[in-house]
Amino acid sequence: MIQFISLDYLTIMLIILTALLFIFTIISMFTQKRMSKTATTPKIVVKIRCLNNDYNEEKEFNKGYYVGLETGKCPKCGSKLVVNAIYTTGGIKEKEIK
Amino acid sequence: MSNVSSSDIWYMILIAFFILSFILNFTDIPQRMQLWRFASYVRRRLIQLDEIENDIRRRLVSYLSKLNVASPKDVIDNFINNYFLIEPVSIEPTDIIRRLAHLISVRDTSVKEYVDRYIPGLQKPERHNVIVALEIASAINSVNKVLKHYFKLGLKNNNWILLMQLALSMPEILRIVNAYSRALDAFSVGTPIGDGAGPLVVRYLVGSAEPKPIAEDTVYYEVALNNRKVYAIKAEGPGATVGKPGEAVDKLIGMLGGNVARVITVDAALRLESEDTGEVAEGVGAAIGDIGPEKISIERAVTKYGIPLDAVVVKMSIEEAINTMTKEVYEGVLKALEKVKEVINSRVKEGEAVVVVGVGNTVGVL
Repeated sequence: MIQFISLDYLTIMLIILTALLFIFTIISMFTQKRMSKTATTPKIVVKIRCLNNDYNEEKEFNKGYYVGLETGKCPKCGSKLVVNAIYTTGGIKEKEIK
Repeated sequence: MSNVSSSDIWYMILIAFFILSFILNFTDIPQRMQLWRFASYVRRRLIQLDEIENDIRRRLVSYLSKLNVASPKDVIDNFINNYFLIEPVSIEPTDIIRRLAHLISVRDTSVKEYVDRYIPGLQKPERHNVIVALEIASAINSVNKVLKHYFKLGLKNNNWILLMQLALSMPEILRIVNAYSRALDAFSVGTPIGDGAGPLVVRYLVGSAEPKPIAEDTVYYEVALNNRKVYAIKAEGPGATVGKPGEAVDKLIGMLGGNVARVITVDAALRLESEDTGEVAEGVGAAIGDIGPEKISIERAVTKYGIPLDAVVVKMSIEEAINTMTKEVYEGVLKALEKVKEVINSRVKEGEAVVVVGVGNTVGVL
């Protein structure tokens, strides 16, 4: 009877140790800081502006556009329309998950 | 089971513990297990790297085919396997910068001749874009080859520390290689990149002023801003080039006889993880990520005449620096422009001259 009880204590101790190890693993998995990447398709925006600054428009990028390119005449004042900026919106962003 | 006593089990555990302790302390088995684990990890990452390199080559072949190159694969292979640069002797530092500048210039000329020979008739901007695209493929190939070299060396000598270092460095290396891979798209279509923050600030500062050549692939503009004379230098766009801003500053200050109140350099700067993209900071010195010759030219020119040298930087990550400009970087450019104007208005007196240098790759910016 004494032997059986001793063996049981050992088993219980091993089970407790295993459980503690399991809990520790789970906790460390969920508390670890991870970087997740949310990917969206980046869109390239082309901003076109009149040199007299009285007209703006946005277009989708086409090969051949560059900042400073003359694209035509301003519909309001007739002066030059120039590509003023080209940049992406969206794309891959990193965010931290705690 | 009933014959096994509790003390027997404790003895068995104790013996197992001693055997395990002996194995861990007095044999190479743990190191070999780690070697196996790290080697397996590095091998998987090298396969990823191979895929990235193959993808780069496929896209580059497609890009060159559109430019009517007869055998694009040969053009790429020939470029990748050649055109290395041996750094000059550094234990004798006398005129090292002059020797380095000369070697860089010789290599640049060889690369331009190579592109002209195999892809004749290209316009200057397109030629610059092709050169940078080839350089990207060459850089990724070099990284891949060096990593494989250390991987094989580690396996050959059972050097688990080398493999561990490789394994720990692989995520960062792959992040940078992926950024380079995506950069090919930006250069092949000619969109402005994050590193073009400096040239874009100059573009906005000079408006529609006419450029004048001053050094190879480099131009300057003369404009007036609140009764101050502004000389703005940038690489000649819209092709992918950084020009020679150092040589240009040296020549321009010489042309003006040293009568310059300030020199302001504007460039993209790699941000720390705790900083935000698009942050603008101001400091002192030459804001230029050059390996030596251009930076020292600026420093020598301003030191010769005792001209104050300012630096305005736009913060961004390495991915943002070499890929199509993001909205955050663009907003940083607008902030940097305001900062440059503020420096000119507050620290340059009316009637004085100031030189603004937009440092960086001017792809997609005229």
